Amino acid sequence: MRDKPRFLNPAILARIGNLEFIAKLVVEGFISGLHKSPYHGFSVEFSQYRQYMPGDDTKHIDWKAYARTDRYYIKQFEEETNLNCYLLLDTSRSMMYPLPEENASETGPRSNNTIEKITKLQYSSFLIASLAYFMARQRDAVGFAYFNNTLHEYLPARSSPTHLHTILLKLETLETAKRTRMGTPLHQIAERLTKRGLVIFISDLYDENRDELIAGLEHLRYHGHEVIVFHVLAQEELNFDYKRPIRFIDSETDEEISTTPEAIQASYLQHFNEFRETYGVALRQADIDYNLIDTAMPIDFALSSYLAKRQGFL
Amino acid sequence: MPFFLTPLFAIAGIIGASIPVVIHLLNRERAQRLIFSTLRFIQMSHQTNVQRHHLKRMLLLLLRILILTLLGLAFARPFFAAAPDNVQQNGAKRNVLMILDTSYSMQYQQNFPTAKKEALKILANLDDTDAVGLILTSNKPSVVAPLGSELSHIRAALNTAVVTNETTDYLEALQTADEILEPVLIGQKSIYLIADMQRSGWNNFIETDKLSPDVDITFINVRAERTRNVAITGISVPPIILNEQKATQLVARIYNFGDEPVENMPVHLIIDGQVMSTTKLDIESNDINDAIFKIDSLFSSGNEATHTGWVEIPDDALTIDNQHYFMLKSLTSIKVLCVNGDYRTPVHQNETFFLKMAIEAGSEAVPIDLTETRTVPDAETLARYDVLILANVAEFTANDANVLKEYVSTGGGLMVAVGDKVQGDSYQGELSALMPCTFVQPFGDAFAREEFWLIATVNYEHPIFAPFKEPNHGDFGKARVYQYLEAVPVGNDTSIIATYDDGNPALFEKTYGTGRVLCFTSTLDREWTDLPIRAVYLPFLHESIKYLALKRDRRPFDYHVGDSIELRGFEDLDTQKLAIFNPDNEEMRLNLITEDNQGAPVVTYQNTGMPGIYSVHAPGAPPRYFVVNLDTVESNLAAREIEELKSMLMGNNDANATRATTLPAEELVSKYHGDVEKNQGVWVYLLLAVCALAVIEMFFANRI
Repeated sequence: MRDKPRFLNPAILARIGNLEFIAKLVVEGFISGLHKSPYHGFSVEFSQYRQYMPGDDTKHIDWKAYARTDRYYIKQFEEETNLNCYLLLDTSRSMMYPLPEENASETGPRSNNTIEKITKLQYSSFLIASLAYFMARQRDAVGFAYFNNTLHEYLPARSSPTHLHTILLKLETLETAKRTRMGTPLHQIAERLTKRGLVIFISDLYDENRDELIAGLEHLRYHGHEVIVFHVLAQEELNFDYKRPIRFIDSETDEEISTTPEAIQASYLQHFNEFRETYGVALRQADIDYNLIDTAMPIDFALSSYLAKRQGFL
Repeated sequence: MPFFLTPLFAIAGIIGASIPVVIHLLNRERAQRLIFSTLRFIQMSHQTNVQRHHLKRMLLLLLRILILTLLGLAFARPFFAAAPDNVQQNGAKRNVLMILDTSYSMQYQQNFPTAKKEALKILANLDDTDAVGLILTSNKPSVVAPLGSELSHIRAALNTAVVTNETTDYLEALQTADEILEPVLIGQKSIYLIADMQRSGWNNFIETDKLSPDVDITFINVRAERTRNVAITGISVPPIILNEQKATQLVARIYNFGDEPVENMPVHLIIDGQVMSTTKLDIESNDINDAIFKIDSLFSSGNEATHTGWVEIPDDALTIDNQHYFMLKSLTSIKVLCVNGDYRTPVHQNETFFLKMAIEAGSEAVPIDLTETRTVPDAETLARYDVLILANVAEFTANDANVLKEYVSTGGGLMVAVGDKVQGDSYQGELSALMPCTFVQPFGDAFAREEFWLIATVNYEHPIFAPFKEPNHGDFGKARVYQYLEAVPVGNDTSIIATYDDGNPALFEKTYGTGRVLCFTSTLDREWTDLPIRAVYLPFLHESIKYLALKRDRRPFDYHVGDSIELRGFEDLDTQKLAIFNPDNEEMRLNLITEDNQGAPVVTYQNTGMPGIYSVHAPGAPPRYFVVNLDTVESNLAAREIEELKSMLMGNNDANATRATTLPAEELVSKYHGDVEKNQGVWVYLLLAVCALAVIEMFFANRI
């Protein structure tokens, strides 16, 4: 997937820095590859003409205008959306992985030499930025919340362009915490979401209490929301491919343990896969869409799985 | 305890064994710190896996160390010396035996004081927990302080130790020390040999003389770097000198043991306390030269006497060997008694007619006083004569036989000539001990003159016949023997010095005690032979009498330092009143007075530590003398190299090789080789172990 040039390597995106630009780059590139425009407007009030672009539905061509001007124009309407999208982000410290050891305790901007490694949180930010941008383009209302053990920020869903900026701004200034206990914030959010919509939850799922977390998600589901879980994991976590003895420090508890990764790799992978399986099974049972996202994957992948869900939802 | 043929490999092995450790330490990555998202899965896996992994790595490291160590050991070819008890090497206690050389070569310059100082130095480094002993050695060791003596006692023994005039034999001392150390079980065993390492001291050494493997020897050489010594190594002088005799020489052999030649060295001859003659000698380095003194004129006017004297050279760094003592007797004439067994008139038929004629005719050249008797005289009378001739004596009484035996054994000369009167049984009976031969039967017919034998073979090397050796100096082959007594030699000390042309012996010689017996198997008159009218008869008789009177096999009064001396001939004297004076004129104690099997007193004297002239005084008798000289083997100060000595004594230190001396040489050698081979076979097993471990290592390393 990474080899295909139309997708952008998240690591390269990280060099750009400007979230809006990143989101635009990702979304435009993604859209231009689709055969069918995703922008469905249902309503009705004409707003403006726009030049036909390949990929636009021909049924929206204003033939009268064509007759007059000999050019293809698309009739654009003031669209109204009937979809509310909520983007939930886990900002626990474990999402700051992988961090190089020299600035392990820092959460500031990354230096150049570590550019190849993109943290799960960065990746998730790009993802949220892209999703938000995409949704904004579709006139969907976008809400955003982030939390770790407590709810830090909650922005209700809106479809105005300024709201997108607000979300992107929040993404630039995320606060992390050393604990992950997301059950309570999820319940709080579920109580606040009044209108049925699509909830996208991005997390590494390293919750201190798995059952609470699943209960929180089920709560959202109970309120009639479609829920997508993007389980974001770094490649190092997925394959645990370290060659030398390493002193591992827990990003949240600061516990330390020295070990020879080679010796425990098999056992680690077994435990780790069990962990993934457990979530996968539990979430599917709750009719929640579970997607495993590797931070090395292009962000488009997440976009397409959102799109698929949205279409089913409408 | 293992030893190594090539210990360098063992060291290499130990160094090699450290390589895996070093690699391990260098490679031991400093665990990189890494903040990881969560440790929950690591913790689940860590406990059991990492511990097992570490254990495996440590095992692998040990395995590699073991492989390299064993490889080094295998190449070092270890063997196990057959030391009986390993305990012997344990413990801090030291067992030290000091051997101090007291031979007379140690009198050279400061050798002996230096040696004492060295010994005291060794003592200073020891303490009361150590067992120390002291052996003084010259030609025989003396343990003056046994192992374990108090240090103060040893110090005192060292301070009172004096150097002797004896020779060196290190080997016996070392063997004694080794024997003393052998039963010791605990502690290090050391021998210190403090000596000048003189070459002559090691002459008795043979290949198998090794020290025990656990005994350590230290050589402390006190010998001066360069040695110079001139010694008189011997004097050759006839013990008895006939005053009339011409050209008697005293030859003193002088040896220059130094590296530089000696020039114009004066050599003095001192007889009876007076310098009689002086000569000068040049001697090359490490060479000998003879100082020759003519002494025939010295006694021309004197009477019969015993003379003592010495030859002397100037003092050098070793003075003790610069004098050599001698003793000689001077005679005015040889006194011969002839017992005539067949006295007859007219005179020319008398048995001794030709004998007398011959002796009287030659009295100008050799002064001989001949007395004739018809029976064997008593011992006292006989003792006055130098030579006794038995001419055709028929038989002897037991008393006669005893008198004769005593006479010969104390140095008298006896000549037996046979004839028709001789009763063979009496000679074989009473005189059997004295006679050199047994008579078998008369051979030939004295009256049938057609048949005769010649004296065909004479031993020209014998002093009697030596004057006839040159051509035209007399021919015994002209004499005809018509009859003789066939005789066969008896005893080990008998020799045949002339034979007839049929091979039967004509003249026997036998030494008995300090005297000699000659036996001629024909007559001394013309009855059985025409020898008396031949030209050789007169010189033959003269030479025989001179030989019997003057030549002695052994110089009975010339001894070496340390000899035990038996003095005889004190029958009529009160031995309790005997007094012996040493060269310093100190009266010495007599060690032992015993009796020989005839009841005659024998005085044993042992204090002969000092070279010089000793005198024996008995009341009512003239003083007697004997001389004691150094054994000048010791004067050669050349030494052996310490390294050489070490290899001689330590060798391969294989105990079996030294012990099993009773086995034949070849078997010994093969047994030794077998043992060595067997003891060294360990390397094969080590190498096999290395291979096995290498396989295990490979298997193990791939599993991790």
